[in-house]
Formats: sequence, C-alpha cells, structure tokens
Amino acid sequence: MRRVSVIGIGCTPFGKQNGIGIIDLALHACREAMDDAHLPGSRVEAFYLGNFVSETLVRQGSLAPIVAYRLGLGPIPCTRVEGACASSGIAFRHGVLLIASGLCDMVLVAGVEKMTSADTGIVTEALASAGDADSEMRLGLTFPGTFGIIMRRHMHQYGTTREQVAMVSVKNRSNGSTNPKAHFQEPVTIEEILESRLICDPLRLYDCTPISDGAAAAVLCAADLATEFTDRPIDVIGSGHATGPATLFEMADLTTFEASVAAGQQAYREAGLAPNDIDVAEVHDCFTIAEIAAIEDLGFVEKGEGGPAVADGLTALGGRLPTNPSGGLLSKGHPVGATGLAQIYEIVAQLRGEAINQVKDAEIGLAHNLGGTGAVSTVHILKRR
Amino acid sequence: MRMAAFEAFACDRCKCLAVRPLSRCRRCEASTVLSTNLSGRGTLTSFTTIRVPPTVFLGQEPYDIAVIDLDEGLRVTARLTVPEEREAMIGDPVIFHEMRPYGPVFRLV
Repeated sequence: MRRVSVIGIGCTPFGKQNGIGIIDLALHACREAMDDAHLPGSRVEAFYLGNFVSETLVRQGSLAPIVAYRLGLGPIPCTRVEGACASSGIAFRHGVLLIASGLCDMVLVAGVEKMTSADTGIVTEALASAGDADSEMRLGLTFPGTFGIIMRRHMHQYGTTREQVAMVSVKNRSNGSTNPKAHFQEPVTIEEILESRLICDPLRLYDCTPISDGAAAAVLCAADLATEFTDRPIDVIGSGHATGPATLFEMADLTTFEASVAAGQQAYREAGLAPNDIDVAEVHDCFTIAEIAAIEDLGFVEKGEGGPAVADGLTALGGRLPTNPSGGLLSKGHPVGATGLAQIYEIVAQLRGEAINQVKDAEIGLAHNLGGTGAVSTVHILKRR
Repeated sequence: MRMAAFEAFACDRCKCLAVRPLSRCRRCEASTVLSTNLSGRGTLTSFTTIRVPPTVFLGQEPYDIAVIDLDEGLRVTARLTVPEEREAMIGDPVIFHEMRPYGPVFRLV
C-alpha cells in the first residue's frame, strides 16, 4: 500500500449562508483546497463528495459530477458518498484507498450540506432518516432523543454529572469564539446551558448542534509526490472505517459506539500508535454527551471517565489532549455532509502550525466522524513530516 | 393489570433472541428463526421525554421513549407510559402493555 498525504485544504464559513446554493458551497471549498495545493484541475484523477440529504433539503441529486464539471475537472470518475453525519469522513477514507491502492496519484475529496433553506420540520425528518425507519424512528424517537437516552444512561452508569456534560459545550463554544468560520462565536456558560429549553430530557437546547450550511474539501496525493506541491505535506498514517448498530436496542452498551471503537482500533493499528500518542483531536460532538462517549471510545480515557476528564480540563486547550480546538460541531455548526472534512481541515491546520487555536508543537492529530445513531464511524490519524 | 405476551423471534438452534424476524440468526447463522412469546416483563435501562417530536407525532408531545431489558435477556426500544403521580427511574420494573401501529408500548409496574 502506498502512503497518502494531504496537500491542500478548503472550508467555507459554517452557518446560515443566505443566497449561496449547495453547488456553490461545494465549489468554494474545492477551489480553496485546489488553490492551497497549487493543483490544476487537469491533475485531479477522481472526486468523492460526501453529502447526506441534498435531494430532500434542496432537491438536488447528482452532486458529485455536477460539482466536478463546474470545477473544470476532466472526464474523471465522480462519486457521491452517503453515510449520514460521517459522509465526508467516508469520502476522505475512499480517496485515501484509491491512492493507497496505486490506482490514482491525486484525488479531490469534499463534503457539503445546505440545510438552512428548508423548513425546520423537513430538516428534522431528513436527519431522522439516518435512524432505523422500521423501528425506533417509527416509534417517534428523534436524533436528540437517542442522545438523551444515552446521556441519562451514562450519568446513571458512571455517575457523570449534568454539569460535567455541560462543560463540553462550555469548552467547545469557548474554542469556537475565536474561529471566524464557526456558526456560534459567542461563549456559553454552564448556567445558560442548564437553563436552556429541555429538548429530550436530560438533553437541553445548548447540548445540541445548530442547523448550518457549509462545505469542506481536501486534496489527497501519493506521499512520494507531495513535495512537488507543498513543503509541508501532512501524511495520513492511519485510517479506520467501521459499522455498528443503527438502533439503541441493538447496542450492547448504551454508552459505547462499537463503530467508533472499531474504527479507532483500525487507525491506531495502522499507525502503530496508542491513544496517548495523539497531540490534538477533532471528535464528533453532535451533542455534548457524544464527545464524552467519543473520548472514551477512542481510548483517550477509560470508559466512564469522560465526564471528569472534561471537567478537569484534560481536553481543553492547554490540557493533555486538546479536543475540538476548532469549536467542534457544537460551535462550528454541523452541515452534516461537510463535518468529516471540516475536522480534517482543522487537524491539517493544526499540524501545519497555522490553526487559530494552535496546539503547541502538534505533530500527530486524530479526526473522528460518527454517522447516524452510531451506524458508521471513520477515524483518521494524520502526522506532519 | 392486563398482561400481554410480547412477540419476539428466537433462533431454533442457538436460542438467541431478536426483536425482528431474521433470515439468518446473527449469532450462529442458522436459517431457522421462529416467532416466540415473551413474558413482557423487564426493567428500564434508560429513557427520555420527547418534547420536540417529528412532524407526524406533533400534538402527542411530550411522550416517553425507553430502552428496556426484558427478563428473557432481550433489549427493546418502546414507548413508555408513566402514570401521572409517578416518576420513572432507571431500574424500574416495566411490563408490556400493547402493540400500536408505531410500535410496542410498555408501562411502569
């Protein structure tokens, strides 16, 4: 297997992007990534685009070829990838595989979602389509409802406190307050979180991500060619992609996402690293409790110790393992199909030493993307040369 | 209180249980998975109150959804009925009440 590097990144601002359609969002991120890599369109050999629900939200299908043609790419293979909230983590994974296999030298990967132009009811139902329509979603369970059930169980099983869970949002909203691309740029206090509207007990409004528009992209390149384009390539040293149950009743433990555990183990094994080798991480905080589950599932802390770890500052900027320095999904926003690559965007910026909330001397970073109610996860480990 | 049997599915070979019919057992891959009636008794593993429902359930909110561990060892997700004067707690005993078009309904014992 050949080694793969990231040589270019792009990301639109996240939030409500009035008047900018889904194609233009994707074009913006892709052009930024190609410009960053000084890469002419004629060199791109394949394109993967992560997107979850564009047909429902903006009545646009065929996204990958439309975006590629508008970018001026050649008659290359273009594929749209759908894995709910992990759509572009999977797009990145497949771009890596295509180069690792030797089939291509240069692959463009992107993710996009346009959410704010649809009615909230339609957005809620579209998101719920990532759950199991035959069982739990038919019952009237929602995405926040799933995480409300997980949160109550985590608090019961490990003594995690409501305040510890809220600290995830306090931390991420603080990190995001300096990120000009974030949807929410104001910090939030524990009191504001605990007094915000109950959505699905014990989960409250400020435990949730906002509905946002956005796109992100990366240029992947065979590692031995990377220095033709950049003097600071970031190498992909571990890639994991795994499946788990899409329902709560099929989870053996309501506080553990099997897909995250398996994807993490794959990535660590390939990289020959352990969780404590990671200098900086972007993890999938679609809800506050999801970040606590993620740092446990990825082995940063023991299962059940995620709450105290967040409260003690382990995952804060300046902590032992800064997590979501970008502000995470809770602050940046969660344009579903774009999220996985926005995490890669932040990790690459961190490893280049040009991030807004720069983690000092970061050499190895991890990006964790989770799709649906745990049905799919990707984990990527990146390293600077 | 009325007792109703809860229908589930059991592998004819390894006897493991499933909520849904399967063409093959997920554990031993045997191809005979048969309908079976369970007691409908179990305990509350976790639950939430849905206050912002999907459009089709607008007007029903708030309603409770629970994950329940049945005495026979099967885990199910169901609607939960909590009497007015009661407050549900994890570990509380629950019992199957009825099957509705949207799925099973359990209630606190």
